[in-house]
Amino acid sequence: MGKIKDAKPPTEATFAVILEASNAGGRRAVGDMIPGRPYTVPATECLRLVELKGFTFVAGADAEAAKAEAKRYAAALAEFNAAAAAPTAE
Amino acid sequence: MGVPVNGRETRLALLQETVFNVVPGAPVGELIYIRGDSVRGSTSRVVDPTMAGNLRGQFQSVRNERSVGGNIPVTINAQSMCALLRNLIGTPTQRKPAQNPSAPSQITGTTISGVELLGANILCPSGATGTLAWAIAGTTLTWTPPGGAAGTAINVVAGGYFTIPGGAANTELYVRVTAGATPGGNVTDNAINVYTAFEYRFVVGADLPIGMVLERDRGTKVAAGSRYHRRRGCRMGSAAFTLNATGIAEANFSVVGAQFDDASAPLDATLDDFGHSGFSNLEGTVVINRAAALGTYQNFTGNWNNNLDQNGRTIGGGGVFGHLEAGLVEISGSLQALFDSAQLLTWAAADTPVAIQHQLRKGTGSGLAGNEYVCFDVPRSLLSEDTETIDGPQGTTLTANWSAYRLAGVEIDASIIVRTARATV
Repeated sequence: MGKIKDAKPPTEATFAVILEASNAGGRRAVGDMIPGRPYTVPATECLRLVELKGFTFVAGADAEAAKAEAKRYAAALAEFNAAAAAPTAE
Repeated sequence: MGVPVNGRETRLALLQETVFNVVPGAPVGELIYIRGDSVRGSTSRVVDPTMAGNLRGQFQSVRNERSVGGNIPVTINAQSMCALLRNLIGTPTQRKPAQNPSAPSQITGTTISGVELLGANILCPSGATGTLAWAIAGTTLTWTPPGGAAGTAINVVAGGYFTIPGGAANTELYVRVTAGATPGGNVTDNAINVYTAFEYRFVVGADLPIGMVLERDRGTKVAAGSRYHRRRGCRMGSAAFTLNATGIAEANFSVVGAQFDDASAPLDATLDDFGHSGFSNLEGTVVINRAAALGTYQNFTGNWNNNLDQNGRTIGGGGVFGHLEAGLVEISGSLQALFDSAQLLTWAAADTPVAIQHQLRKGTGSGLAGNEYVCFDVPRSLLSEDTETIDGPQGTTLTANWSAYRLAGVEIDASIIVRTARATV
């Protein structure tokens, strides 16, 4: 076992999503994001924006890739957190 | 010297609960445009009054009731105020705005007297050539939606609420008819527009939404762990709406809640922002018995009170409300008028039902961006009988207090109508 305390937390890949103006439903903005403009955000947030806020992936093929990435990231983060909580091996 | 959090640096998010006093699992928050937010959490303390020898000091106090309450004043608008109205009254019906835009017929939406338009089916085609025809033979209304065919004529002689069908499914027009006020001859209004916007009618239903979370972002000056202040299990106790001759149109929403805490991260970091376009009182009209009452009224107030049950603390509940159930809804208010006639006194003395509308309208009032509309609609009320006072040598005024009521066997139909570009409430 290496020095866990020196390990870096995992990073999450990003994907481009957009809230089409025609799908904004009268919203001027969603957070800092303006309808009609693409935004690049981490996979987990992409999925939340698509499910709850009416966004779509700029590239349709990204939908499955983002799901896989979010799943991979969640597992990597859980592993990292578990290792960080355990006693370090010197 | 520290620099305090400025009110302008804070933001208010509203999120609906699906279980009372429980943070929603998949939170979708909305930014609420406010003038202030005095909804505060507090925990009272009590002291054991037991005596102890000759000592005069008190024992250490212990925590007691936990409560949340206060007001959210807003400028009346047709955007984020919809979320507050949803919690004050209930989930609204959604329709497309429909009206003849030519003044002054837009007060009721059509040139056919005694008929008020209450929107079209949300799937009705939009356009400017819808036709509503009143036929004295049969006392019927017939609706021809834009680009469509006429539907079945409906006899409306009894007055009340009617659905007038178009020739195709999902093209209905909704109307309210005042019995005895309809024209004496045939009248056709062929200039009814159906707009690609949304008309929400907030009307009393069986219950209010389960609860809401009001999350205040205190801004970056507050340490991360305390930045987000959550008030949970909140329900709208009451609201007051005020229309004056000048100034900004105001509403004040009173909230009662169950619990509060702080968090380091927002429930929803990307709040839905519907923008804000507040109403000036110069955009207001008071409509009495379906006619604009110009040159008479100086002030209108409307109060909507849900009479929440605030006896919901139970043993073992930690001093927190277990529920905040709504009681009977009271809808009342006042009209201050120039005392230029005895009309209000006559109505009050005779128990004459009075229909009151407080309308705020931008542009055509169609609901399209820049043309928002808000209406406090009271189809029937009775006035209290209070005669005028003479306060000096100049013009006298008369204040009439009104209270809405329901007809026997049916729910009260006082409502707040909003036309807006927002597609969901």
